[in-house]
Amino acid sequence: MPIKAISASTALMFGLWLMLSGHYTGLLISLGLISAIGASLIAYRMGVLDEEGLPLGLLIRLPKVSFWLIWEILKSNIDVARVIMNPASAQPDLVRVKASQKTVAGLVTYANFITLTPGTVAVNVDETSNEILVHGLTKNFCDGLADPEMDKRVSALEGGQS
Amino acid sequence: MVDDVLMLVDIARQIIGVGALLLGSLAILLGAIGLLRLGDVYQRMHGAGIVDTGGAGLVLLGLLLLSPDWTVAVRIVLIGGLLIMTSPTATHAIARAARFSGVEPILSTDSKDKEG
Amino acid sequence: MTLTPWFSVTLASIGISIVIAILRASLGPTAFDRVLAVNTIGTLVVLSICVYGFFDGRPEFLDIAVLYALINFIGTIAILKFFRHGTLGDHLPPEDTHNG
Repeated sequence: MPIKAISASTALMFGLWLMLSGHYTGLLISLGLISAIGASLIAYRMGVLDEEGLPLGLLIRLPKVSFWLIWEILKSNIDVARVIMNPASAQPDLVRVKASQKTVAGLVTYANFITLTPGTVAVNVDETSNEILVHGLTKNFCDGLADPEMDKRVSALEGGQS
Repeated sequence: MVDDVLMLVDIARQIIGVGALLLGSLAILLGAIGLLRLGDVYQRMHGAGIVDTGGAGLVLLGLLLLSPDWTVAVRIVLIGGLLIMTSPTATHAIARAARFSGVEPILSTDSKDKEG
Repeated sequence: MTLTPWFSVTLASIGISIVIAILRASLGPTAFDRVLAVNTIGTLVVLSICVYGFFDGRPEFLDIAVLYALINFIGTIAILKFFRHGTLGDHLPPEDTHNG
């Protein structure tokens, strides 16, 4: 449905414009609105305003998971810092992680979350078998990946549809 | 009375902001040391990960708390969002490119059969 | 209470980290170590632009930091793509275009 996607992207861009501009006269605001609409139309014509380019449901549910993610990042930051103080204690390993996401945007978000937490880096994402190859810094991080909590939370981000 | 409370809140904000800045500086230094000390490319990525998440996040949080004005705060949030979206993508791209060009990671266990 | 000393402490530690990262970029045995170090330097430069804006009392510097964050990411991807294909995308073999 083009109207919904175009208006959502226009609203996002115009909101960003309003926050960044800081000048609120009639002329400038209407110029900003026109450029937001123009950019959305061009993006639609380029074909990037689909579920993958503008995953609205995922974006709306993102704040819910972010606090948990920040906590995870802080914990693994401390763990990686400990390894850096003593590099000999690193036990690097490659593990395969099963992903349960159905959409490509969800899979990419999961891989991004894995890379975002220090100590684990997604090396390769296989979208046919839904597997992510992960490099972990120590055994602890690799074992932590076996815990399906993050996978579940990202799948919940995707929502029920599609 | 109200003025006193507001001033206390302001002082607390500044103290937490400076604390976050200093913690972030520490995290950045640790990450950079990790970038220098760890064993191979894949391990060094975790050091760079500390700079990108813990270091950048804490420094930006400190600046956010110390920002004089809401337009400044908006820009700091925007920079934080950009870094959070792009840095894992860049790290993943480096890891993937390294693997595809045949740089093998040092592995501690006998898990050679698990690699793909 | 002035906050300038704290900003200069942060700037100093970012500066030291940039020097360490430059060391890694010049030592780095593989090309990917160098790209990783340059990417980290980019992140650190973004942060130091932000902190310098506060240090100098001119938060307009943040606009430059936004642009630098974008360019840093695109630069890293462009370098990696150049390593892999030897071009920036104009003569990609057709079977490689979807995962470059």
